Amino acid sequence: MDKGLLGSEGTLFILVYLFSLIGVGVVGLLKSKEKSMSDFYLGGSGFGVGILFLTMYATQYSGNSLIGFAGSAYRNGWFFLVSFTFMIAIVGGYMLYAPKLYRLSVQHRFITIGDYIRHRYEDKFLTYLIVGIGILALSNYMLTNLKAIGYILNYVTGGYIGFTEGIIAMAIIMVVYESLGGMRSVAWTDAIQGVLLLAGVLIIFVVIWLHYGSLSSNEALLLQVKSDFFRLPLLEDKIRWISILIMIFFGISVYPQAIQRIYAAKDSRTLKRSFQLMIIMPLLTTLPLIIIAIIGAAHFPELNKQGSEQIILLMLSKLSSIEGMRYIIILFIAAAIAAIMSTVDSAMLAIASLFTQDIYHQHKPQASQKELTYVGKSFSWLLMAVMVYLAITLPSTIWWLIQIKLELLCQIAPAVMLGVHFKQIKSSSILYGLLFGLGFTLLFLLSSLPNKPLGFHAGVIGLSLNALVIYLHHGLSSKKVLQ
Amino acid sequence: MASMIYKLSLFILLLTTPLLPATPYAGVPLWAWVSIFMSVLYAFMLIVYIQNSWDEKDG
Repeated sequence: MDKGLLGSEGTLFILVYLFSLIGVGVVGLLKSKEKSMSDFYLGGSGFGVGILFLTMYATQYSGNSLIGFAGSAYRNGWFFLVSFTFMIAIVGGYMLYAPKLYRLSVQHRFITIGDYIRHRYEDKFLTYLIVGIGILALSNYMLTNLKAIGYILNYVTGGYIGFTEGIIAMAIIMVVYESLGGMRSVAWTDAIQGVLLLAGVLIIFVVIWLHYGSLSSNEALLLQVKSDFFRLPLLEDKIRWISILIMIFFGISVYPQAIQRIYAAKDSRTLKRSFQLMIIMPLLTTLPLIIIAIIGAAHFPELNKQGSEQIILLMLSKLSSIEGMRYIIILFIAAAIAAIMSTVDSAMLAIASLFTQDIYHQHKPQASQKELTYVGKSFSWLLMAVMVYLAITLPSTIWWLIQIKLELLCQIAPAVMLGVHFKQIKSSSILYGLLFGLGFTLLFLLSSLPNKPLGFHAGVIGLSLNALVIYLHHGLSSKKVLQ
Repeated sequence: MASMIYKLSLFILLLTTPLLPATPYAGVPLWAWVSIFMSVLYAFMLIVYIQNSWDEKDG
């Protein structure tokens, strides 16, 4: 039977790779020290620079980075350079709170973002609201990446693995290794996936640069077939650029799975080095992907949206007559699958911990650590089953819901970032700001009002109002106390 | 000093915005060259900031 781009050899390689991940899960189980939430969800907070950096890298660079980013760069040209900038800026966002939050997490043994919010604000409603927003954003992330893996497996195996079968098989593999070793398994598999992703991008970049030519040698062709790539940036482009930077800076840097990795660091020095390494990665991952896609646009200028997402595969497959090229294609596919898996497993682990620690444990405070770990694992299976069902059945007409996750998530940034620096800010100020920001964002996104008022994302304006309400409420309540 | 570097880095981040003409140089528009340069400068400033500001004693 035809196995598409992968061929029999490639399919076998991918299968061996996937099942080896379960072996990593078993090792994670053997290395676990105790049946506790901290050990299961933070790997006993013992990750050194190598593993911590690679799990941060693999988690942040989802399948979307490899496939979606190339597609966006193909369609938007040099404007998509904004992704190179925002992948660096995310670390700038972490720097607003991570060093202090890490110290607090060591003192108070935090496991989730909810632990910190509860400790800092002592407000149940605020904690549930923030945990709920976190779960919603992570569920979206899981859903899109599961769908993507189904499409990829179906396409690269020439239909040998169906869309539904692909999603189910991958979901089972991920939930098995996660249940075995928790964060240890997830972080170790992330490390393998991170190496695959980095090697894949760099090797493919060199191959494409050598065979399709440099940007300079493609300039005349690009000016001819994609002249819009060289148009003068308009005022709306500049506003959109700034709006995207703000949304990503405050949105992605407070992802619950990212915060969990801050808690999982062995020590402060490890975290510091990992962040420094993360700053370099856009130069080695995002920028090469943008350049590849732009060179691809010069050679294959007529692709539609769906075709543009496969630009790298198309470029590589046209070189298939070159000896050894099929191994490069296999590497690219493995890297794409790895990138998606590392995102889904981290999101699943984070959601399960949020449910267990911030919802179940709060309703049943007497539950033992063993019981909580068991509940968390069971919840992961249930969650994965629901996500698989939704990924298979959900129509693409609701896709717009997924696009808004960052606009909602960035609303929790003030609670996290201001909370670690300003001890006098009360929970009521944060809560009113959050409700106002969320209300404004949802009003513009769910009604017929423009979803980019004044050219900015509704979530960015919502975030500004959120901060303004916090400032005003804090100021007024401080005055009342003084009187 | 460290907080000064961080504040300055935010200004540099703002300067990554496409502000210049799109005249191509070596296949890349001028504004994109500047944006890449500013992004790299921003990255460098963040690395320096982390190096100087992170209080390892409290870890």
